[in-house]
Amino acid sequence: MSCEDAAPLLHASLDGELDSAHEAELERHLAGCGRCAEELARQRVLKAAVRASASRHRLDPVARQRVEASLGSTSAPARRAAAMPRRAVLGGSVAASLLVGFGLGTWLGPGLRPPDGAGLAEDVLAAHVRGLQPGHAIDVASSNRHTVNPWFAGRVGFSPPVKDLASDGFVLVGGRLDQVGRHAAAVVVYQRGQHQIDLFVWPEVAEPGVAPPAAASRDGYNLRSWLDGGLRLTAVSGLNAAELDGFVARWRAA
Amino acid sequence: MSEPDASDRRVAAAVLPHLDAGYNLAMWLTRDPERARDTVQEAALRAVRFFASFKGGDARPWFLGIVRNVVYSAHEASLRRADVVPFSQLEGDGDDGESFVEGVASPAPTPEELAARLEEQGAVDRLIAGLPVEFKEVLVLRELEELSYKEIAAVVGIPIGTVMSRLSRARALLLAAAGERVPR
Repeated sequence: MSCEDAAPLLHASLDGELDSAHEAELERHLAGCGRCAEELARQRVLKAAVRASASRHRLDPVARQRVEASLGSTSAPARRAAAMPRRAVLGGSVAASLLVGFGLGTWLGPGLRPPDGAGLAEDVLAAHVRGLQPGHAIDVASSNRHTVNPWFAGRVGFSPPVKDLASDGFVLVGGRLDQVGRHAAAVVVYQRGQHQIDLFVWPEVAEPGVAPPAAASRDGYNLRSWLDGGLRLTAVSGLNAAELDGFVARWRAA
Repeated sequence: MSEPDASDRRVAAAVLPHLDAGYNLAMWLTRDPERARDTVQEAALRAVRFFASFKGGDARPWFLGIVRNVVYSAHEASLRRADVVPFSQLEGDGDDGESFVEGVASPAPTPEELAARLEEQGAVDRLIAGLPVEFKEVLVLRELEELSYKEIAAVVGIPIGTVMSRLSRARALLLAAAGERVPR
């Protein structure tokens, strides 16, 4: 057996992928070949060093919890309190009855419906309703866009535009992370009088038919959706349609 | 509020134990914690959607395959390609009789010298990170996730022979890079 023939056997032997017949052949070659024997020794050193020293990255608890929530796994109550999550699986009866109003009936969780625009609209509306629960609206509280925008850095893989529309009567109150279908979304939260406006932002995925409708209305909630530079923007609010249209127009002009 | 139904629990049971493995693979491929987090999140959602395709058995290679596909489909532009060696010099599927043995210009370090160099803080991570992504992924799947050649072939979508040739080239590249480093 030549050294060239032995070389692949050497790697397979290191990886435990060699049958006994080939192991025996390799042994015979190594017994008479110092070059290959030293190469084997080097490969063993390399293998051991990689296994001992290479970083094994671990998912952080917040991201892990997000995945668990997406999979419909409910956290133990103690852990939920300790981690102060905002994306709790729905528990309130009020929120549940509102979901029934949307025709969702049973909360299936994201990802179990085939992706489609109408399903996404329901997901966004449900996320907005969740966000109306006390303590669930914002993860970062600030009226300063220079505070809110950087907060998202490191939390989502894109930079959501945070605009100051206070002079038009739409007050920035903060932001949060949310889950809409398969999308991890940044939510920029505004207030207009009594009404909260959630502006959901995620990168547009080039799949036909999986954007929310440009306009929708359900049970007193209104939804407007548009594209801006590769980002899908979806505004949801209990605000009346005309004023929500005003919000969208001001936002796009700003 | 609804109870998670039986299929939700099965997907969760299949996927949750492998989130760290998925994140590790995504981190080695994208080098970006945020992208890696997004990748694992997206992979978990796809796992739900495609759970019917899971035939049972070890869910780790199945989930890692989904993670890899998410990285390649969503983050292709960000995949770091090391400019160590031109790719055209490296690729060979081993089926055309191409030699596995790399010619090394300078004398290879002895095993003892090699061990000393690899012990340096961060040396191993830097060397692996310097690999072109096609070689990095088979190395990570073999050495860190301990997948078999057959499993790696399924995850990456290449023949077993190509797994073997890429792995041996990955190791040769690591040795060559380790050998070139100036000892202190």
